[in-house]
Amino acid sequence: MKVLVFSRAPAAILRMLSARVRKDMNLEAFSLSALRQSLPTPAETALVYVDVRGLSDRERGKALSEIAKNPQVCFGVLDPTGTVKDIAALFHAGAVDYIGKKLTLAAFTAKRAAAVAEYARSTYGGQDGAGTGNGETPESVPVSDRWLDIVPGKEHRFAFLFVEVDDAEELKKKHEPENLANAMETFRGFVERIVQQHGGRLWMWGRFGGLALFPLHDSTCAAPLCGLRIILSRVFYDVEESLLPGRLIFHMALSVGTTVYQKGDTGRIVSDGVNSIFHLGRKYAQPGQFLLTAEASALAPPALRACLISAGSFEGRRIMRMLRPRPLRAARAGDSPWET
Amino acid sequence: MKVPARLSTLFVSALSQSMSVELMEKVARTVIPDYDVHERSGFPSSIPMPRADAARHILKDITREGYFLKLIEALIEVTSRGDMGREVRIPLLSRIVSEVEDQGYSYSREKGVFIEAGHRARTMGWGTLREGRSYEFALLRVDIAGSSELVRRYPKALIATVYGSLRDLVTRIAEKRDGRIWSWEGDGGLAAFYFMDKTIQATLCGMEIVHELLLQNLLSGALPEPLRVRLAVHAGPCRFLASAKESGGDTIRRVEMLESTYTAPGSLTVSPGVFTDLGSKLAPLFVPVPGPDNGSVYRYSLEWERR
Repeated sequence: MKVLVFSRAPAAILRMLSARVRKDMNLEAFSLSALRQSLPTPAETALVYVDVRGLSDRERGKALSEIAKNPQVCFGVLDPTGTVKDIAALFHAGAVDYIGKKLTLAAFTAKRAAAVAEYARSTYGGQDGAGTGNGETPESVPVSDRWLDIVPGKEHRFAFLFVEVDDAEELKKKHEPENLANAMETFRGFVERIVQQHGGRLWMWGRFGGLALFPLHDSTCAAPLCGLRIILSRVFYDVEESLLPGRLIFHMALSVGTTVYQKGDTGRIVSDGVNSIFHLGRKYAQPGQFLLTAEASALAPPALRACLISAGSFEGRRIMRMLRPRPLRAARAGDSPWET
Repeated sequence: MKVPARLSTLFVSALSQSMSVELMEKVARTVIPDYDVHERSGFPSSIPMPRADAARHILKDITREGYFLKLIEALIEVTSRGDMGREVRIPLLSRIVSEVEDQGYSYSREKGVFIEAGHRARTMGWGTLREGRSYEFALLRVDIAGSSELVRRYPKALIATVYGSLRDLVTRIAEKRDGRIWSWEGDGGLAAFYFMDKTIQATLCGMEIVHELLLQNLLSGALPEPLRVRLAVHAGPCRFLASAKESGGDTIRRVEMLESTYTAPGSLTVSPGVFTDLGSKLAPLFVPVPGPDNGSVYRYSLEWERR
C-alpha cells in the first residue's frame, strides 16, 4: 500500500508518521506546493492524505479541490490541531478519511490505511452499482470492447449513459401528445446517431429519455466523449432537427456497471447497475448537467478529465460534473442559452 | 450528364404524347435561346414535323450541348405553371425524374434544379450552375491562425497531415449541408452554399468546425499545441467560375476581409446581413464586435464554463 502525505512540513510529518506505521507500508511525504505534480497516476493504487495544519480555509479548500479533480485519487485529511470545523463537508467533497485532534496521529496506522483503502474501493472503485445482482464479483464479469463479444443473455460490463429531457411535465402541458411524441422521436434519433458513432447502442428508451450501453475494454471507452459530443451537438439539433419551438434541455449521467445484455424486450432486466444509473440520472442530475461517477470519470481522456469538477456524492458514490462548453457571450452575460 | 437509352426512349415518348412541336420548341428555347428544331434538323419548315422526330432532335441537340437536366427542369416548370394559361400535363414526367435521380441527382424544389446527390462525385457547381453566370451564395472562409509559425516549428510531413485533416473535416461538414469547397490552398479555403437557407447552412457549418476543433484539441491531436482557425461567413452575388480565384468580386473580397481582419483565432464571424437571417435559436449565441465602417459584425466562439 502506497500512502502519500502532502504537508507544509513534509520532512517533519514523515518523521512523525514513520515511527507509527509498519515498515511494509510505503509512506512518502511531499510539499503541498508540489501537489499537482506528485499526485498518483490513474494506474497507481495509492491513498493520499493532506496535512491541513497551518492552512487557511481557502488554502485547504484549494488543495482539496485540486485533488478532487482526479477522480482516481482517494484522499483523507490529517488535522492534528483540529482546525476543520465542518468535518462532514470534507466527506461531501469526496474525502474518505479524517484523522482529527481527538484521534491524534497515533490513529494513523497501516491497519487504518488498509481499512480506508478498502472502504474507498468498495465505495468509489470497482463497481459503481451495489453489486452484480447474482453474487458474481466484478472481476468475474467479462470485459469487452466489441459488440461482437457481447452475448445476449449473459452478463457483461458496460458504461451506462443515461439521457433524459428536462421538464417533461411542462412539455406535456405545452404540446399536443402526438406532436410531443413526434418531437421526442426525433430527439431519440439524435441521441442514437451520436451513440452509434461512438460505438454504443441505445438500449432502452421511454417517452423522454433512455439508456445507452458501451462495452468496456480496460480503461478506454468513448462514452464520456459521446456525452460531450451530445452536449456540443445540441445547438445543431435545436436548429436542424427539433420539432419544438424552444431549446430542448436535457441531463445526462454516466456510470460503469454490469447487466445481463438482452436484445429487444428489456422490461424484465434486473440489474443493480441499471437501477443505479437511473437513480443517479433521475434523482441527482440537475437540468442541463452531465454527471459521471468517479469510475466513469476515469474512462475519459486526460484532457477531458480536467473539465470535470466534484459534484459531491450520491448513494455513497463520488460524483463528478462535466463543465459546460458555452458561447463566449453567455459566459460574459452569465446567461448561457445552453443552460437552464 | 450522359443520357441512358431507356431515359432517351422515355423522354421521346413523354414529349410526343403530351405536347405539340411548337410547345416542345418553346420549352427548348428556355434552355437554348433561338432554338429552331427545323433549322437544326434540316426538316423543311413548310411540312409538319412528326412529334416523335422533333422530340428526338431536341433531345440530341440539348444533350450535345450539356443541357439535358436544364430541359427536364424546364419541363417540370411548364407542368407546374402551365403555358399561356393552359394546363400542360406530361404523364411520364415523374418516371423521367425518377430515372434522373437514379443517375445520382436530386431535384431541389426550392431552386427548381437538379443537384448532385448520394455518392456521386461533387462538382463546384453542384452539377447545375453554369460557368460565368452570377448567383447568390453564402461563402464560408476558413484559415489556420498562425500558420507561418506552425510551418516553421514542425516537420513538413506533420504539417501536411494536420492541414489535410482540417481540409477533410471542413469538406465533410460543408458537404453534409450541401456546401462545396471552392478553393483550398494549404492553410485555408473557401466553401460556398447555394441552396435553401444558405446563410444558416454556412453559419452552422462554421459553428460545427469550431466545435469539432474544440474536441480534437481536447483529445490531443497530431500537433502538440491546439490548432486554431479563423472562420467567417458572408453572403452576396458572385460570378461562378471553376476557379474561385478568378471569380473575384466584392463578396469574396469581403468574406476574406472579415476573416483576416475581424475574426479572432478559434472563432467564427458573420456579417450583419448573415446575422439577420439567423433567427431566434442561433442569433443569441453570437456577440456583436466592432466591424468595418464603424459597424458591427457578429462573433461565435466557445469557452468552458468557469469552475
